Amino acid sequence: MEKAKISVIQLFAMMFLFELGSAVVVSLGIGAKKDAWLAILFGMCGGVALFFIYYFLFRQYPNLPFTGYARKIFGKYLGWSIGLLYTVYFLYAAARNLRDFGDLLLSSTMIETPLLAIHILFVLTICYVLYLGIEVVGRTAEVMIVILIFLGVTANLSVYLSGEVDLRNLQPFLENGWKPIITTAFPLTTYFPFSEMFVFTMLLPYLNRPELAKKVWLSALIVSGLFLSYTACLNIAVLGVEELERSIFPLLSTIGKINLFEFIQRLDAIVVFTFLITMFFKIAIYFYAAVIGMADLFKVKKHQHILFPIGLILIFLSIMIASDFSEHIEEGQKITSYFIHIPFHIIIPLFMLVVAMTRNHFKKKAN
Amino acid sequence: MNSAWKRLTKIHNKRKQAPQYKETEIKSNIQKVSEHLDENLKNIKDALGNSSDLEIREFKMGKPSLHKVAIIYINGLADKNIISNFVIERLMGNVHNTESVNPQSPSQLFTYIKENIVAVGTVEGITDWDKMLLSLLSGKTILLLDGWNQVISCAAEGGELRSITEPTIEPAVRGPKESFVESLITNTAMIRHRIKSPNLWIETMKLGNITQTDVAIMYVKGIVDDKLLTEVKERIGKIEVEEVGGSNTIEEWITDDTLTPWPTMFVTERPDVVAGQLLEGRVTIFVDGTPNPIILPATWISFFQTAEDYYLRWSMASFLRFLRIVAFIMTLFGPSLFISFTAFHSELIPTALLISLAAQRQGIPFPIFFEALLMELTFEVLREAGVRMPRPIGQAVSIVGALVLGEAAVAAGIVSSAMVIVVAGTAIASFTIPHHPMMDAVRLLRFLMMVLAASFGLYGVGLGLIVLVAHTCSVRSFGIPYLAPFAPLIFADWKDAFMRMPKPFLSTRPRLINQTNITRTGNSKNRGPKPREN
Amino acid sequence: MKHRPFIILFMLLSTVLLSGCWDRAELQDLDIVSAIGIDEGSDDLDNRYHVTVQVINEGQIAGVQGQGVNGNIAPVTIYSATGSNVEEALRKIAPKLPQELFYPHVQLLVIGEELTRKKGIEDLFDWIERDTRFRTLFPVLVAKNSTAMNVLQIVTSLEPIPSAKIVGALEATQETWGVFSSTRADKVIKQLSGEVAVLTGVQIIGPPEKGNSMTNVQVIDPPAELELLGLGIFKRGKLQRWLVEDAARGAMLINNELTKTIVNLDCEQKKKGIAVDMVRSKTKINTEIKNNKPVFYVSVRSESHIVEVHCPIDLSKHDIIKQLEKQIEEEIKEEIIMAIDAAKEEKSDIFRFGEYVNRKDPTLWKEIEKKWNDEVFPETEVNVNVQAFIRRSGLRTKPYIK
Repeated sequence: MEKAKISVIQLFAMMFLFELGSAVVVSLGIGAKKDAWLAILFGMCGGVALFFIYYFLFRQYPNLPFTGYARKIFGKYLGWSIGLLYTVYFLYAAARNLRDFGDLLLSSTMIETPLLAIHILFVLTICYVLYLGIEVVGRTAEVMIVILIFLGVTANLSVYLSGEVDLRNLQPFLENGWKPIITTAFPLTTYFPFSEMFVFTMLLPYLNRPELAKKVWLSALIVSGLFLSYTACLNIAVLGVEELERSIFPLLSTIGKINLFEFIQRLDAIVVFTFLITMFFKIAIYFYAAVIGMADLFKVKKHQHILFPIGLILIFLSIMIASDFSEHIEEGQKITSYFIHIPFHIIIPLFMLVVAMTRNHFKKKAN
Repeated sequence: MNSAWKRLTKIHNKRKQAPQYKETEIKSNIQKVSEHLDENLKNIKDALGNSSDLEIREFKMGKPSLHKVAIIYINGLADKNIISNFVIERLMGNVHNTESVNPQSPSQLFTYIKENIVAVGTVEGITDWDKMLLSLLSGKTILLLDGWNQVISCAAEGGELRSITEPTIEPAVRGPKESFVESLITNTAMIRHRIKSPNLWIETMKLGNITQTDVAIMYVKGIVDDKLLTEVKERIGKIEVEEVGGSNTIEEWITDDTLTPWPTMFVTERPDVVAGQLLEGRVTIFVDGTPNPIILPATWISFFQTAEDYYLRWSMASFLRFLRIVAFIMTLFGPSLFISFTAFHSELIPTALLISLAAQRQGIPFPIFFEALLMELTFEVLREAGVRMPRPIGQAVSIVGALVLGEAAVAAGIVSSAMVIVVAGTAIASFTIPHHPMMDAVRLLRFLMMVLAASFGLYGVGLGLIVLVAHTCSVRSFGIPYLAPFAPLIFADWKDAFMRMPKPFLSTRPRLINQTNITRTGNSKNRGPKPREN
Repeated sequence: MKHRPFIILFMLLSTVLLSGCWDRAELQDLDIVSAIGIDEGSDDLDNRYHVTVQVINEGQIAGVQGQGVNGNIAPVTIYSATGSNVEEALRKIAPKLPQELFYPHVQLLVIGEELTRKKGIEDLFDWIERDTRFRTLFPVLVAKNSTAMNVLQIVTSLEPIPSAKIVGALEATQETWGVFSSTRADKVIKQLSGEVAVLTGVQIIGPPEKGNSMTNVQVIDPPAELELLGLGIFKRGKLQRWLVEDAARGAMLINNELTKTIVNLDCEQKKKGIAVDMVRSKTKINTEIKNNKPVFYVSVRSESHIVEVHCPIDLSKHDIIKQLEKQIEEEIKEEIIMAIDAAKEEKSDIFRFGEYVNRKDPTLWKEIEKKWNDEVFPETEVNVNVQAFIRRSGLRTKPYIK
């Protein structure tokens, strides 16, 4: 644990950027076809429900990160190994997102650059920023969110002014009934990206006003949910569902349609920058959680000491996890969602909740 | 083996010791002023190595011409008029009533001279030899009296000093037209002139083992944060140098972070800026001999504010600030974005523009990065040449450089005209950044961005942006986060950041710089005329 | 000071990485492709498509100081090759060129008519979408009665790049004449993912071989010119028939793509003696489901003003204006019905009426979706209702002739 404090706004900015992450550029919730936006909103509700589990645990141990109170709840050995599992999971998630980032960047703008070069440079940047500490990450998030808003407003205005938005593409509402919406929302959109915010249980102890943790978390969740839902609407309205289903980087296609006065066109740079900024924070936060988790478990005094070795592991992991993009995506949808997200985001925290409650119960009785 | 190891470690240990400076100069063997005039004079001459600017005037004072006295001063540092009219003449001619004191008692005579005869503002009795030498070298006039072991130091400093001129680096159309000069006393007086408050406190100290330069810390008691003040004093106390050449010596010694490109202290030549900053709770360090005091702590945004902003209407001032920040971004990212768009992302350039650019680049031998580097370096060389040359030649340099060289290079097909436009646009944009340290920082960072752009295109520039922002977020100036009103976000301070709100709204001081005394007196609700009755 | 080891490492790694520059491509090393033409190759698998690229000669387009524009050098050059797919053919072209072909600025794609009739274009566009080097905002045209290669080799007057001329003409005609839908590649792809598509045609007037020379623009009346003509109806990727003039305009009206056009009206003595400038028109399509069958109501509302009159009528009278409005309504209605009839004949729902059904009643649509084009659409009732308004008659009321 660093001795650092982050403000409410900084935490909000980090959460918001984290949530947008890759979700804002991929075709999120496309399983629900034209009602993808609704599936995203349902997923957000799922995220809110899960939040209360994490929040209860945080309230019990407001000064400890997740790996810390795992030991308090499960005892020294079991808690330690669970903590280790989680740090490995955080590292894996960081690697997955890094791979997402690299693959999408390569297939969209930099075709000939090797993936490894992109990853090394990106991880170096992340290492540098994390080296400066979580406070700096928070402040950077504050600045970046302003840049992001500026980019977003420009892109949105251009799309609307180009007259590419056709709201009829969103009709009919509930074309295929409720079933595909529910099955897309639970589990897929709930996990990606809303329950991923679980990683912030590692960062909450840094908050300078812990009493506002609930507000920040929920508002970040809801704002990002609405924003993602809006983006999905925009993509469908501009591209139509068929094209959206086909494309791996729909936001890029949407922005590609911009044509104002035959001069303002080809604003792809906006999407690339947005993607770069949001993914930077997503990977950085996962990576940071892994690093401070390790530092906590192995009693390293300064997380800076283990930043580089773990960064190296991150780079190799991101290259090794899949041989091609399709395998990577399939792994994400089939394996990660069910075998990692469910136990790590729901079952173990729920179990911890039960244990903690029983303990409290007995403690009270003893008193 | 063992001894070799020991020797090595010894050297290592020696290096680790705090640097020891030779403290020979003024420290002489003599401790006290002697009773004998001749001995004293000889010692002084020896101490100064018979320097030719040392003036010694020996004479006898009083009607009966009883007492040998001597006056010494440094030629050029003392005001000869004052010395002859108010010291020598009084001593030689008009001392009628020396009879009233016992002539045999030099102590009585000494007191009498000190209290009744010498007609200058400040006199001081000195017994300490070093102190006497120091005050002599500071321009004071020393009066020695035979038979007594004290000297009188009279403040009759004079000599040639530069007079107050109009500010040249930070001119303003409206507002005061004076700038600081080299003399410390004149500078502090200019601030006193503006802030007639007993709370304006000045603390002076001498820094530099050889130069013995006067350094003054100025602040407004009650507004300044005490923690900041102690921190400043502590850091200045750690300075150990032979010479304090100017304010930048102090700046480089006390800076928070040496490895940052950003300036963490604010330098100005305008007294009104200093006065304004003092009232915001900042500390100013004046150094004798430098017309540029340092103001600290400084934040990033303060380098985009000029004195003029506070004399123009607020709307115009805000617009100009916005313009400067746009120019800053243009300077920083202009060439790198040009490189990344043309060399990596040609698909993002509108077709008509691309055809024109491609046509211009036909036959140009260099890759675009080298072309840009060549042009930027040429521009920096031209700028340097223009600055170092005397002004009339400097203009010739700029004409040859800008017009002839640029034109010829384009005509010869060495560089493309688009590149000339980009470089020139960047250069002009960089001139709008009002403070030189910030301009210099951007000039250097621009090259870094160009390298990133040349290697990875927009991806490199994006990563460069993130690293730069993160680094800037990590910088602190005397504990104050460098990007203060933005990150951490202090919305109340935005009224004087990107835009300048009308004065009545500027009712609070910046939050982080002032921890306690935030509210300024004044109420924005009282502004403007009363509503008319009819 | 605490950053020192970090910064050294950062710099070392950066220098290694920065020397990469994998994606760099200098502007002078690029040959900007302005148009691509695809023609029928031959029947054997290796040469299925004959692909032509039109490369811009930048120096001829943008005059640069010290180089000047040489009138004897053509502004564009074409190269062609055959291959079993488009990308392969494009790769085969590359060795013929001094520099790398650069595709993102393609402004036009032309498809030869023979190809559209024989092989069809259903599977022809995947490479455009998939390849990040392509933008999908250029129009796709069909070379009527000709090959794409011939179209691309015509030297055009007034605009040095032929493809730019065609694109400009498309935009201009859409605004002022309103006959040709600009069939953008992404919209074509969207149409092709259904069954039916509509593409605009382009035609060479005059002998094509004369167009392939700078002499074509050295005379005042160029012997070979390019002209946009009509809409081609495609079904399952194959060209079925051309809609020209009025019918094409009707189709545009239904699709709400027409903004301005000229409508000719009859006055008492002269047929087509009055020209009316339609400045604004809006089409609404409503659907009703009657007896499990959709019925469409196409209602057009247009505003126009009179620009030319050849017979003595008093336009200051409201009654006469009313009569003219009636005429416009009939005229437009006729055009629309022509278009709808043509579409019904070809059993092709070029107006995407099916989507309206889907929006109205998704369950019904799921039932009839499969047989929509072939069975249901030709039998569907379409009602047309036009409201036309003549708002003003220019600076004169009566014409000078009596």
